[in-house]
Parts: sequence; C-alpha cells; structure tokens
Amino acid sequence: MTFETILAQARSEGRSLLNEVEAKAILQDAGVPVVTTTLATSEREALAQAGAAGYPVVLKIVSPDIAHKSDVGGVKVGLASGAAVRAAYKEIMANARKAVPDADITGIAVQQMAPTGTEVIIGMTTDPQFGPVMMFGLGGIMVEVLKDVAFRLVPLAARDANQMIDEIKGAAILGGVRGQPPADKAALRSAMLKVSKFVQKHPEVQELDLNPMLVYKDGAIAVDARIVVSGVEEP
Amino acid sequence: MSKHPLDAVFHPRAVAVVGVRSNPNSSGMGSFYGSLTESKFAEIGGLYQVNPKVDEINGVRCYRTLLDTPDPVDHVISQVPARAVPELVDQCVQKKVRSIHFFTAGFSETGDSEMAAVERTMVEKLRNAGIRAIGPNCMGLYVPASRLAFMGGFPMEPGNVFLLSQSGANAGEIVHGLTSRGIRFSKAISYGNGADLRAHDFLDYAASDPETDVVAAYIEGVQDGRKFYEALRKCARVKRVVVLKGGRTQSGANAAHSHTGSLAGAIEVFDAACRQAGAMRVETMEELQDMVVAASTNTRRIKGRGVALFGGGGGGFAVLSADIIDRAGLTVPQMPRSAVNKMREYIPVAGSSVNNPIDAFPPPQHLNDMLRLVASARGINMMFMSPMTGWPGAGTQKEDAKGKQKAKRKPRKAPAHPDAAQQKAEIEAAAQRAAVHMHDIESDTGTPVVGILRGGRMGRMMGISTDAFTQAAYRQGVGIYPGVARAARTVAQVLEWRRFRKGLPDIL
Repeated sequence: MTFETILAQARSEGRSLLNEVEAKAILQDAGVPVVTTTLATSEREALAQAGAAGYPVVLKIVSPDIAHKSDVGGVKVGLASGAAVRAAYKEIMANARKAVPDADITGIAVQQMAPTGTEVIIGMTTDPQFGPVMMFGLGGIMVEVLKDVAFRLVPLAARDANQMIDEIKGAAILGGVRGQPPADKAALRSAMLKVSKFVQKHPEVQELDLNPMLVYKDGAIAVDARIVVSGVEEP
Repeated sequence: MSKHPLDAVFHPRAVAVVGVRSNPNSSGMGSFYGSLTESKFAEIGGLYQVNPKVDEINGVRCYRTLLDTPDPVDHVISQVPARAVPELVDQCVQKKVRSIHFFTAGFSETGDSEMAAVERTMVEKLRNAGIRAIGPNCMGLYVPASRLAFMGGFPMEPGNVFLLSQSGANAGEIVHGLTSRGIRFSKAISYGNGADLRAHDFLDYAASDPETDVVAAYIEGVQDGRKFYEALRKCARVKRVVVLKGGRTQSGANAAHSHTGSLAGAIEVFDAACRQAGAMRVETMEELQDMVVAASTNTRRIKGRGVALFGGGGGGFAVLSADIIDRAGLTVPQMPRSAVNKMREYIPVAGSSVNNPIDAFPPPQHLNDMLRLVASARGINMMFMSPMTGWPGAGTQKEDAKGKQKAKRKPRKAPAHPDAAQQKAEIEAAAQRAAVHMHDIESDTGTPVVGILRGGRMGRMMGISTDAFTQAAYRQGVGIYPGVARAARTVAQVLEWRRFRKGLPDIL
C-alpha cells in the first residue's frame, strides 16, 4: 500500500493516528529500517504470518481505541512456536475485549522478535514556529525520565544527524561501555536521514516516533512506529 | 559596498523627525532630534523637525507637516500618536520617503485586534509604495558611519559588530555595555513589533554586509520561523552570530500524540535551530556581551581546554580560580617538569608556586621570559592573567587611585588644568602599555591571553583604570572579562561553539 492509500484510508475513518502496521509499511517503503509487521485478523492468519516471519515472534493488539497496548495485556513477546502463537492470539483478544469492551479491534500485528540491542528513539514533530523538527535520544528510561534528547530542523544533513547522536548526555553509552561493543552510529544516521527525507516528502506527517529503535554493533531496526497525520478533525 | 535592498535604509540622505516634542527641555528616551543633533547628522544630510503647533524649537526651524520639509527626505522618524499615524503614512507616500521608523507605540503589541489591523494596513500601504518600516514600538537605527543614533552618548566611531534587538531598552543597554568594553558597531537596530522589517531581513543584510564581522541578536517572539532559520543559517555561515532569546514561552503546540511532540518545547527547538545554523545561543545579557567580546577578540581562537593561570593574587585566589575554571569544564594542567625547573631559576623564592596556577612575582627582568615559557608550555591553550602591581602599565597604588578619582569627578569636561590632563594621559598610556604587553605574549607564542579584571580592593591594588585598560586591550585583540568565572564560562562556550560548527567555514 502506498502512503497516499494509507493516508486516505485513515482520513476516511477519522483517524489522525496511523496504526502500527500502516506506519511500518510506509516507513519500510521509504527505506527506514523497521521490523516487517503484518496484520492478522484470525488465528490462522497469525500462524501463517508467524511462520513466514520466522520464530520467535511478537504479537500486539491493533486498535484505534487502545493507545497503550502493554497496559491492557495486548502485547506478547518471545513466542517460539505455533502453539504459543495460537494461545497468545486468544489471550490478547480476550484481554483487549475485557479492558476496553467497546474497542474497535482492527486485528493483531505479527512481527519477528528482534534481538536485544541498545534502545534509542528517533522522532519528528511539527513545531508551530519552525515546522518539522527531528529528535534523537536514548530510548526507554533515558527518554522517559531524563529527557536526554537532541533536536534539529528538517531537512537534516549528515553533520546534523552526527551531532544529534553525539550531543546527548548519554552519548558514551553508544560508544560502548563495560565491554559492550560500540553502536552502529552510521546505521542510526542513515535512519535519521531517511526519516528526514520521508517527512519532507510528506508534509501531511505531523508527528512520528520510532520508539524503540534497537541499535546493534552492525545495523539498527525499529520495532515500533507511530505516525500522526494532519487533515483529520480532532474529536 | 553591498547592494542589499536595505542599504538605502541605513544610509539616508535626509531625516525628518515628525512629532517632536514642543517642549525643548524634554529629553531621555525618544529624544531623537536631540540624539541626531548630538551625532551631527546635519553635517552629512538634511535634518528636519516637524510639529504642527510650533514654528521653531530652541531657535531651530520646525515644519508644520512632513510635506513642508525640503526634498528629499529619505528616512522619517515617527513620534506622532498612534491615531495620527495613518495621515503620516499618506504623507510619507506622497513625499516618496524610503523608510519610516515608528517610535510610536500602541499597535499590535497591545494585543488589541483593532490596532493590530491598523498596523497591518499601514504596513501594506507603505510596502505598496516601496517604503520599508521599522517598528512600531522601537528605537530604530544606530549607524555611526551614517551619523544616525537613537540615544545620546553613542560613539560615532564605526566598528564591526551588528546588533538587532526586538527591545529598545535592551538595544541601548547592549550598545552602552559593549562600547564601554571597546566594541564599536557597524549598525544597531531596535525593531520592536517587526511589522515589516524583522529579524530575518536584518540577518540577511548582515550576512553580506562588508562592515560586519560579528552579529548580536536579541529575539523575543520568532516571526516566520523558517525564514528566520534560513537567514540565520546564511548569516552564521560567514559571520559570528550570537543570539539571546527572551521569553521562554511554551509553543502553542497541540496536545502531542508522540513522545517527540511532548518533548519538543519552544526553547529546545529554538536552541536546535541556532546550533544547526552555526549561531551561538546564550542565556543572559551578561553572557551576550561577554560572547560578543570573545567573538571579536582572540578569545574566539582558543582551541583547547588547558588554562595557564598566572595569578599573583595570592594562593587563595589561585586555588579558588582553579576550582572555578575546572567547574566550567576547562582544566588547569600541571606544568611540564622542564618548565617548572626553568621557572625555579627565575624565582627562587619560597612561598611562590611555579606549578599551575602560577602564583608568583617574578623579578621584572625575568617577567617576559617567564610568561612566554608558560604560554608555550605543552597542554596550555590559553593564558588567564590580570594586570599586576609592578607589571608593564600597572602604576603604583597611590598615583593611580588619585588619577582615577579625578577622572570620575569630571567625566564629561575637558581636564581643567594641565596637571589633570597629564594624569589622564598617563592613565591611558599605562592602560595601553598593559594591553600591548598582553598582546605581545599572544603574538609571540600564539597562545591567546584572556584578561581578567578583579574587583574590590585587589582590583584597585592592580592600579589600572579598568575601562581604559579594557578598551585598549580590545583594540589589541585581547578579550577582557570581569572575573575568572565569566572568563571561564565564555571560553567554555567558545569551545562548544567550535564543536558544533564543525564542518562549517572556520570563522572562529
């Protein structure tokens, strides 16, 4: 599906927030490294998609009415077999219906589970004065509590991306501490530049989070993505 | 000469001040005719005053309307009340002026939507006639080379610093504060509401202004964020730009749906825009002035963190100073053994420290060798020093204190008798010797000297007139800062500036 198709669909449904599967599809299309994620609307589909993705897999609820998936028991990770996928599918559906009985459930997202890496966040928002702005920071607790992030305006040049990576207070963590190998900064830079190009090309994108993106010794990949588009009346 | 469209605004052939006060004794802010008289604008162009009620003020002709003044008038300063502005705008169009500066307030800054609409209408009318507007609600232009000044007491000697300020009072404070440190301006503009000309126009001009090397900007609300950023980027590539942002207001962002949206506050984004453009953002008026001094002296050339602290202010002073330097993110590295041994030959005195900080009074015949030895030592990127008793230029406590008192008592008058004149000349000569002394260390060793002024009793004991010394040092390219803390902070900011400018033209 193209960006335009997904945008039209979201707008027609009155959604400013693209679902995870939509967001990842268009980012992947733009060359941003994200975990391939598919939408299953039945146990059979989930099983087939898990097999195609390769075990272990992660299943997550997809619903416009559920913002915090983990809080409602809508996320199951480390599923290593078909039996585990079936059980997880049932459990997620039951949890979601119980937590938000009226929720409109789109389906369940199936993706391969990425190996553990250093969590970072790459994001974009629209500043009322300056327009599109990119953000980089360490993920998890570092962004939640310490707000250790760096900003630059779109479009990013390579030097801007490099500076954002080096500017955060926790930059040393990416350099490799306590015997950890250094993170692949080139992969992070490349991802940031691709996001910058993507949002430049699509001014309808108002906000974007790749959170977390996992970075390794070689390469980086986003395991969750969120995109907010314009042109939808807020309820 | 640059051919920028704003050139005409900065170089008017004649100026009319409309709405001058009919009371000749009025003075202070907004006494534009008085300031232009003091700056002798009339020597290079026509200067006219307009007031509908009087024919002359203090024996100088006063015209009833702008239309009665001789032709041409290029620049109009409006002091009329807001309600009289529409008529004045029509007259400006008829008179074919090039620019108008509205000291007049009471427009969009009041928050009144009707007055904001009046402001838009008048700007549109002026633009259609090709007339540029500065303001409303501002002090306008200070251009020494064109003999334009918006306050009394501004020097008419031109310099290489360009100032743009949304606030008139801050513009005045920055000009006064920096001129007392030796800095001179190419142009300074207080532009208030920025209804027509605004920050990005002035930054764009400064970028190609051959008379400008350093730009200082005081910004409150950013108008046209993207244009501001583009102009800042263009300017900061080729000029050293220092920005002070007032008003840490939250952006009017909607409730964010993303982490990124919730973390991107207005000041964080403004800061990012400055870094990305290559401009240095500072937090206070004091930092702005220190950074402009750094940007226009050799302080900007400092490339590492190693400070040689040449004290002579006592052990306690040296220890505390080293702490302050350390906290600012700089270092006071140990002197190499070879340098220490050499210094011991110069100063065999017990109680003096020849490591770093160096707290010692070398005998005069060894002073220069010792300073050069320290400045050239491995790991030393700059030398912090203050003029000391017994140093070149530093007088004895007694004679200097006397000279300073005299200078203070009669600041504006010419010295009354030869004795006072001689003393003033001596003070200036002493300041000059101290400044040259610092400059010579710099040029001989390639290590920038950062001059420290010390306050209180110790400062007086140094026996130097601080303003005269600061200005003389500035002219030698040596930056002088009040106290070690401000000097250390400024240097740390310069290093940070250099770091994020990496990849841009090397203008620091």
